[in-house]
Amino acid sequence: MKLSGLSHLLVEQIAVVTAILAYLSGIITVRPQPSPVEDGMTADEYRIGLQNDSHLTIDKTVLIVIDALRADHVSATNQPLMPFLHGLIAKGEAYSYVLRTATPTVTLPRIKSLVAGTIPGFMDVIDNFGAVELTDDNLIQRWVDKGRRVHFFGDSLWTKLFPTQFSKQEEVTSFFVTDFTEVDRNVTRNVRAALTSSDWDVLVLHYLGLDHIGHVEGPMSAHIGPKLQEMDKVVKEIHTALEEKGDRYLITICGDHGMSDAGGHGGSSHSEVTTSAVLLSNTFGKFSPGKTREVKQVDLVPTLALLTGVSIPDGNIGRPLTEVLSHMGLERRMLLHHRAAKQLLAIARGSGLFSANDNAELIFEEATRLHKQVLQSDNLEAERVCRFYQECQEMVSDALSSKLQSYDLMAIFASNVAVILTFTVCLWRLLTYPPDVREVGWANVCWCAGGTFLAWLLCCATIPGSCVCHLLQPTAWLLGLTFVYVLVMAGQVFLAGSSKRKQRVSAIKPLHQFLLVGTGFHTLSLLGTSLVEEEHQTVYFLLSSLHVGFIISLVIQIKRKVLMRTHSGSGWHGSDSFDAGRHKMDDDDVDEDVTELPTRIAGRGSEGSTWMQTLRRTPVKLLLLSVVSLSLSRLMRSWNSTGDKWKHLEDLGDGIRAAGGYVLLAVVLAGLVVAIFMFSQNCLPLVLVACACIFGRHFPLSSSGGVLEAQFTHFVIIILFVYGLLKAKLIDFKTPNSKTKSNLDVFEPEEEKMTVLLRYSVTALSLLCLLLQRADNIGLLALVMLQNYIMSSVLCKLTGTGLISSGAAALAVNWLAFAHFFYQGNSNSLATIDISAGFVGVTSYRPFVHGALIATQTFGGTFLTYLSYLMHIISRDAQKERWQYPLFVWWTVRLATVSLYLVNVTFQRHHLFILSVFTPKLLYEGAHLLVLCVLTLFMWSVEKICTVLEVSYRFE
Amino acid sequence: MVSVAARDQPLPILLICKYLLSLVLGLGLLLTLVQSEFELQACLRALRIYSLAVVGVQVALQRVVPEASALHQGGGSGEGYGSAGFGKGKARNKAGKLVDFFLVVILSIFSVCLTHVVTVLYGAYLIENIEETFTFSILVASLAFVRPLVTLGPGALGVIIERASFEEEPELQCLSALVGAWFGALPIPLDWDTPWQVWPLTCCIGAVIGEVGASAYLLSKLYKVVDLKKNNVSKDCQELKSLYDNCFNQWYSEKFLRGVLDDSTCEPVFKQYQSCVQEALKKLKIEIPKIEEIPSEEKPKE
Repeated sequence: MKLSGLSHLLVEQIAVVTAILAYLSGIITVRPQPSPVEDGMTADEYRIGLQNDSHLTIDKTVLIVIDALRADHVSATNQPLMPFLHGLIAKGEAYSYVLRTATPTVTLPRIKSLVAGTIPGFMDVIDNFGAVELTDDNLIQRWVDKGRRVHFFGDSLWTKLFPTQFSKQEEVTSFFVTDFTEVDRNVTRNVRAALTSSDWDVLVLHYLGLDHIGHVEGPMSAHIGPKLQEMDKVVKEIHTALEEKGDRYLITICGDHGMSDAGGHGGSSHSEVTTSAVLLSNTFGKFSPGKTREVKQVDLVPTLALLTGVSIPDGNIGRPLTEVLSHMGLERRMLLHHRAAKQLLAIARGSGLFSANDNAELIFEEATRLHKQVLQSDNLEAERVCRFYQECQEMVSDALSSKLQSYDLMAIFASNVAVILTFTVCLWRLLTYPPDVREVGWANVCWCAGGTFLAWLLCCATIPGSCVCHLLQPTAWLLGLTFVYVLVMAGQVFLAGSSKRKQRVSAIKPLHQFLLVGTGFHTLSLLGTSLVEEEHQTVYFLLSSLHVGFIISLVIQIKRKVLMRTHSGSGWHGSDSFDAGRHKMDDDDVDEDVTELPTRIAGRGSEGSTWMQTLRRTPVKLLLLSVVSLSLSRLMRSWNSTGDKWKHLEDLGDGIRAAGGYVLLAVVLAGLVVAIFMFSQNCLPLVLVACACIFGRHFPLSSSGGVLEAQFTHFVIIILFVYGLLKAKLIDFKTPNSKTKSNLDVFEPEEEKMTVLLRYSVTALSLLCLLLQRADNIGLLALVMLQNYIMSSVLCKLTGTGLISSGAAALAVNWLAFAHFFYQGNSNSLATIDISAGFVGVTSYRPFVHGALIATQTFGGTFLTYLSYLMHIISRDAQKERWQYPLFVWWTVRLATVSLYLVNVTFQRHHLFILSVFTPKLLYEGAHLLVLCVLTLFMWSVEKICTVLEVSYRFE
Repeated sequence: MVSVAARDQPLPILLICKYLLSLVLGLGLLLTLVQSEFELQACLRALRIYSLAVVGVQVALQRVVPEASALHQGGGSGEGYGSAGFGKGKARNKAGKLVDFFLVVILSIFSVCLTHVVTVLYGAYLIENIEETFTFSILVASLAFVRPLVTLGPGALGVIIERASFEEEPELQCLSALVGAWFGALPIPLDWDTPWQVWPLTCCIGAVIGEVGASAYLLSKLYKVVDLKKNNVSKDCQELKSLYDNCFNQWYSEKFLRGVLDDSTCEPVFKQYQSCVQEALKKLKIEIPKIEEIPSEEKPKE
């Protein structure tokens, strides 16, 4: 088995990805089993609390979940966005709360919180698309068990979580983000039908329209107001219908999460984690409206359970809202609080947080004792009992909500070690580049597998109980794979260590140093939370500095050349202290100096040149290109403000969107024209058609709203790619005979083929990215492509002249790729992922297609940057080692970041920001890693195909 | 270094005063900023005054004693900049001086604008905060660009590039101020929410700290030189030096300028002189690794 070049890299990438998967499987959410608390209350005493309460039992419960309801949507007082609801709150007929949700603010974990009262772990984000049946104890199940008929209308997530519980249901999918009206109309239609009949006890509604508006148009959209009024109307309708019926009802309106100031959700900014809840019922009676309190989202669960007369779900960690229970009789209130406290203590015991002598337990015992006294002797200490219970609840609930993540340390440490070892191997290989091809015998692999197995046995013998030791779970196998790879490679390192000593120590130039130090600084900066949130600032800063560095060194080159010429003219020499010795004797031969190619080329320009000729000289041209690229960077960084601290600031994209009309039209047109010019050499008609269709998507002529155009664009892009394959002679429809002949006639070497193929791939991918972007980002993406082109050529030229090494150039491209990632408005928070990109031209629900499109939109800019640099190198010089080297450099840098990050997350797992900052960043890093894997895979297949075809042609 | 030590030119006192002044000015500014509790307007005012003061000091010193700075550029090949040096060279007449003066003024203004443009390219706002950005540009330009211009004349850029060393005063000050300003940008994104994290302050403070550091470094360097002089290194070798100087001047005017590049005539004298200085240095336990490295061809330039 021979591993050479990219194949080796691919194997290594697979090893690292498996290690990371093993790491993720080591982060587990705790689901503590409750261990019951003895309270010594007798059944009689229970019954006392439940007497005289028949007038308080709720007949009809309505739970309305409005996706992405911001806290200020309900609480805006000057001009209430939801006038009816606001009126009820102001009149003192409804309780209003601000709910603080846990991160991540994604729908699935938030629904779980809403019904089960638990806080699901971060890894539930990954499950967001593939929800499975909820097995934890929850409200819906409790209602069903009590014989209530639960009807559900709304988001299909619920029906996946509760496949059997609802006696009537109709789902809408959340995947047509651009649909603002139909999705809600379908729900409301069902509600009207339900209100006329009485075959239900619990009605659960989940409205998606508001979330869709937020995703597509942001919180300042003109659609928000009407949408909220529509919601308000629905509430009013339900309210009046229930009032007319005369049932005892409870209506709860709440959001599952908020909406960030940019419109998305998933992160942990204040506007995302706060949402509203309003409870109204005719059993509450009148009360004086108080200040809106901020409570936890899970607090709704015990409240609803107690109000509707079911027992609290076992896993719940919220505490009931005291105000809502205040209309009940004292005995009943005491009992309800007692039950809530008891449940919380049970769950706390189960999670191992509290021992028997802990404060909360003491308070609970004391409260129970008082409670009994009150029941017997009927003195007036009931309020105090309630307060005691509440105190106990608060203590337990607060302690629990922060500590529900546990870690399988063995799996985590093992995968850390695996990744770090792989990184060492990778670094070693980079230092001895190009690596020699070495035979890896199967026997060798078997030995290493045996060693891994032995180590595994040892580990599991000493520390049993980890998921690594369960052979049925994938973790062990994933880790095993990585360790076998590392062991095999380590063997190679030791074997090769003595023979390989060809480290090329060249004089390290300041720019090179700066690139190295900058990359190190960038990697290390990710340990600080605010630097993670504002990573784009670091990248922009480094990139600007790099540009300025280029400019300065080019100016020095040019200036030195000028000085040299004046000096040689006047007969003075030796002033150049750098190469004084070398130039001393042969002033006139300076031009032949190999290390200063730009000056050499410049020297050949005629003496009395016009300024146009001056501009065309290479160093001056490079200087100009650098300045242009720097200005482009400045323009692009102000296009989308991202991050956390300055995200709300108005940016260029906002301006364009706000101006709309002709400005937007001009930007889109300009972007498309730039794109057409850049790709004009790759089958211009197809590019023109594609660009026209992209234009049509945003300014549709037909009534389809751009869907048809988008589909057509997809089609054209595929045709373009196939045409590229044809051009590169990879697919040939001719008969074998003529094929041989034509190949003999026009023999194209392998390099040419790769260039053509890559050029068409870049074109197709760029067009796809253009299609998926928002209208105002099209101009930005065109600029990104322009900068890709400029920087690739500048870097190639600089590498050619020896001003920077090829490794340093690869580092520079890495920065550029990151900058392009952030220019698009991405950040290290999940909130900035543009879901709407997944639905461009797709009319039915296909999770894989949506995922692929969203990933293309998010990481397309980065991928394009890498790819166009590789294309540039290959078109100049298709030597294998040359163009594969950047891939190795990028991979090493990424691996360094990832291994640092894994260690960081491991050690800071109890940090306050672990869920809101570090884990999302880890996910993003993993995604960047995958981008590189895809790139390597792509390049590997291109290389293989080209080589194989080459060989077969030759044989024919 | 050796030549600085060897030339017993006057005015180290003046130089010391200059560096001390810039040190005190920088520290004073930092103190003022701290005392105003980083109130933005007061800080900006102080920064502007400081920049003007720095330029003023430099210009005044240049007017009063042009040699004060000449001492330091003499280290390399002073005569080589005949065309570039401000107020130097043989064709030193009034008209030329006037032209140079205007050129320096124009270039200084240009350097402020350039700094502003570069700052904006680095991400400062184009229209908002223009006052802050401009104050920053004035500060950086006056610390890093205007002073070398005043010292070295309008051809300062060429001179600096040609010398390509950062041991001399103008380059060192320029570089340290720029690097300081660069590092000053790093704490901006941190979420400490302190009053000094506002836009121009971190960078300005960085630049001033760089300036203070440069002054301190130059002072320490000067201290060494003065120390050397006190111990009279040069006196022991003075005779040899004058011998070599004479030889070199003769070689330069009679042979080199006429195209004869063979410099072996003065080799023996130079060798003697060099070994004398090296021994003296060894005696004083001053290690200057550079002296060993300098190839023998370069020495005759002295």
